[in-house]
Amino acid sequence: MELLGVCQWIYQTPMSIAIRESIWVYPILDVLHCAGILLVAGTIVIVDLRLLGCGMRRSPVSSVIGQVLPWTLSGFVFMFITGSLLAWSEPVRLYHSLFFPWKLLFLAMAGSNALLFHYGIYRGVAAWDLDSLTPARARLAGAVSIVCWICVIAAGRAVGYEMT
Amino acid sequence: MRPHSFTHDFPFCETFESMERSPAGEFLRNSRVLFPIVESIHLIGLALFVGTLLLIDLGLLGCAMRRQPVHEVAAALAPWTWSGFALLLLTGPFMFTAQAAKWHDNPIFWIKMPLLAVATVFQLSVRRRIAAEQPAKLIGAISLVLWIATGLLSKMMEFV
Repeated sequence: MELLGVCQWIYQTPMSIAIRESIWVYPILDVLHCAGILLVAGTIVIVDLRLLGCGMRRSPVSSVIGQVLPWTLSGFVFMFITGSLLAWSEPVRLYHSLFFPWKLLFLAMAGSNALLFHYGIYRGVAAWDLDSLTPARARLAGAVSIVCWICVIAAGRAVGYEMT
Repeated sequence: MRPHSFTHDFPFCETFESMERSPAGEFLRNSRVLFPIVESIHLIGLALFVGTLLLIDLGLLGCAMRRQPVHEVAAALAPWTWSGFALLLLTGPFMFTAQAAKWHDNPIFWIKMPLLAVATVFQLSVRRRIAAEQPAKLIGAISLVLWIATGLLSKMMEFV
């Protein structure tokens, strides 16, 4: 089945109709989705700034990441669930959207960047845990992460303004 | 002729209308791309502000950043908290001007703005002093509630 066909099938499922046509469910999901993305982006930026040497320089890198990550991950789960439900309620509009694929792309880039960092240079963190200037690869990961999350937020906001 | 028919009799009707009709308001409202861009910057400022603030408040509550004294975390993050706040203050009034009359008619707007003022005053007075000394659960909790409520009301404004 084509992707558009899948979107059209989702569109007519009872759950999609229920979310779309409710007075309160859609706004509440939207509010929670926003709160989730703020939690993710706001906490991950603290890690990114530490990696870039722009904040919390006196704290060990592993200590900052260890303390912040649980909040980032719970924010991500929250954002992912509410986001999926929102997307479920208007799949055909998102299929035709110009910015939604970009949002997904930047989200995937932010995710792979984080995984690459975590299972790459971060494994040897013990060697540079206390350095205020982290290795170039760690700084790169921090910069890529900030840019990706700014793009996710901007593209996500743009999706809301697209009218079909 | 009014661009917007008022259903609530809040104060400042005329002022808000003239703001909406000002060149800045007209320009922002009529541009297809400018408003989303300004709003994106507003959200990025919000992420920076809320993210850093949240960790400090959770630290005050003893739920996060337990390995460092709260005042150290607060001092390290303060420049970023205030950069985020600056972005919010720079973009917020622009977004407001574009649709001033609409916001005037929105009951949630009139709850949000006083709450924002209270949260800001609380932030600048009580919370700043406490963060420099001992972890104080009550202060952290009040700060969290004030800012979360302000944020949620801002989003809810769009739907009323």
